Amino acid sequence: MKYATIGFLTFASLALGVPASAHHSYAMFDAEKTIDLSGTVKEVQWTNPHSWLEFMAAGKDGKVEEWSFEMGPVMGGPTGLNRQGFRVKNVQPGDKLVAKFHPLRNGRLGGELISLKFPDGSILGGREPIPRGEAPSTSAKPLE
Amino acid sequence: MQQTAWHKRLSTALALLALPLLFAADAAPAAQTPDAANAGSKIPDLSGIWAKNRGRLGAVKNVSPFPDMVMGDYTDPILQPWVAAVIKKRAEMEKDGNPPPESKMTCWPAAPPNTLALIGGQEILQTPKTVFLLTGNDHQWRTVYLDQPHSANPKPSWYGESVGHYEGDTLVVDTIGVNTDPMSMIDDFGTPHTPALHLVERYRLVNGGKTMNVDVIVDDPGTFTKKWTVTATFNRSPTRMNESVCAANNRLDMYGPSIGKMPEAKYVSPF
Amino acid sequence: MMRGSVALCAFATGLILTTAAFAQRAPNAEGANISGVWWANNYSPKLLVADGGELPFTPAGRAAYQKNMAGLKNGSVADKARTLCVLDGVPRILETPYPFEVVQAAGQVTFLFEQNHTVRIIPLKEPLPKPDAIEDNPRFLGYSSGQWEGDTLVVQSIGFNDLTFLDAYGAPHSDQMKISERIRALNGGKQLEDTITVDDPKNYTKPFNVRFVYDSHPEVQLQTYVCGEPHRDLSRVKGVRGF
Repeated sequence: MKYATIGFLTFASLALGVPASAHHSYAMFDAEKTIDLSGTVKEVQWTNPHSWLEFMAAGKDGKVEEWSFEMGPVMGGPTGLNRQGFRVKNVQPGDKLVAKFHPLRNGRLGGELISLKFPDGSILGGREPIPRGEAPSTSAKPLE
Repeated sequence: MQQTAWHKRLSTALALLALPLLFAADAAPAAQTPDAANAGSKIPDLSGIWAKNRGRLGAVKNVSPFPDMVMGDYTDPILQPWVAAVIKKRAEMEKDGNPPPESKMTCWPAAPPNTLALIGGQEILQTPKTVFLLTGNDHQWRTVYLDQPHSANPKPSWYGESVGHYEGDTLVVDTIGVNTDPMSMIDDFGTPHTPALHLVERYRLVNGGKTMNVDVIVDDPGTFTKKWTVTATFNRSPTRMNESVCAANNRLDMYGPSIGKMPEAKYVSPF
Repeated sequence: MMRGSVALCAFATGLILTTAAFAQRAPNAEGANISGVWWANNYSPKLLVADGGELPFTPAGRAAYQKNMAGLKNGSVADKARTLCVLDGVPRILETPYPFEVVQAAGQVTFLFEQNHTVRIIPLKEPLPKPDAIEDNPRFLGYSSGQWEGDTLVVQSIGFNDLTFLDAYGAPHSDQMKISERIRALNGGKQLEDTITVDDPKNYTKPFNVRFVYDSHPEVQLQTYVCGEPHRDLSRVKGVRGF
């Protein structure tokens, strides 16, 4: 049987057709809070199962610090930003963007990235609510 | 004189044994693979890439308020008291936003049957003597030997010792000897187990070969008050598994210390 | 005579064991039989060019090599393939002093390496993906496509990330590297040979070849390898350093 390599343009067929959230519980992100943060891209760390955006931004106190935003898997899964048009070449170090994210509950500088807004107003990502999670079901049955 | 005689007898016996093998280099043991040579055999053609359907594989229900948060029902009477305490503690950590350790987040092997629950899917390779069960998360695989019985006392290992055979249209895999490392958890709830864990998995095709059902029977009286069973279902995937390297850029610093540590090795200089 | 009998015993036993290995391959698998467990009997932490001589560095390649070597020696550069057990990449995984198993089934040739529990899949009859389909998803092991030419498996690989070294000394490669391989059994199936051509103009002035030969070990069962845990004894492999 021949298989398609997971190619960017064949995304419609859903790489493995499964939700992304089974990577881990998203409880560490506060789904009820959304923050917009202006800053500059430092680096895109593009790896499976999670990619990260390193972002230099000033917090409330005006001090510029490094924020880390989780972007979901490189390929596959509805939360993967690549599913919503994200290409590595779209986001370069030095780009000035607005990151929209659900912050980490533990107070660390970062969170779950929802979208990126460019100076011309265009937006990458932005699907809300971020698709997540399997139904909390189990079909386990005791025997005997 | 006597020494020469026994050597001659042994070498003759071996030669007679080996002679037919000269002509049988590629012969498979009878009906051990689902191919044209075995047309009419019921051996299922499980080979290929399988995407996981929905549903968790734990013994208990997920009682969290959010679908993506994992909190096992620690009041379920199927759990022995010490296990209920573990599940309860983990559920409380989740609620507080401090993720508890789990193998897929910190790059430890997934204990069977948790390998079936991983999102990366499965890839199955069937050969006459061995079935390889590859998992798409973190390049893992389990090996199922078709031509050997269980060892009397297998050395405990992360995936245990798996032996298998075909029963008509079903591959039956029997696993014992799964180690009890703290990071050995058999489901998404982080459920531990004892050295006596015994798993039976039954792999079969349904829906005209488009779907694979794996019935899992979990038997571990020290962990569960009853044997229990659950079915994992998979659909054929049109795309190959992606490369997924857990230890590459794993940002555990973002999740906090509660999530634990990755396995690490000390650098040994080659110079 | 006793010597003749012993020789015949050895031959017959060898034949039985070898046949056991051959019978492991799925019937009707295409091409030659390269299935089974293979294990090198020697190891070099430094990648050795097949025809001798040094790696043909470009100035950029040499600078990167020296920087990597110095960094590995003083601890400022990490060898994550050894400390975190990320995948070694290609060709470095083929230098492994641990055994590996080749599985010919399901229309692909799969290499299961004990080291870092590495899985390398070489699809048959599937073309390499187009560069723009994979440029956002480079891999430690790249993307491979294999086809049989008689008894030789010819493999092309592209789409590598730049997160690995070519060897334990830190020889560099870029994400534009292309790898070609010719893999075949030797000596009636007692050995496996992989001749690899590395093509990376950014770091090397010309493509160069490296060659590995492995012995058949049907009696070996691969173990589960977890980073930092005790691993099997490698004393049978000459030259092991850095493990």
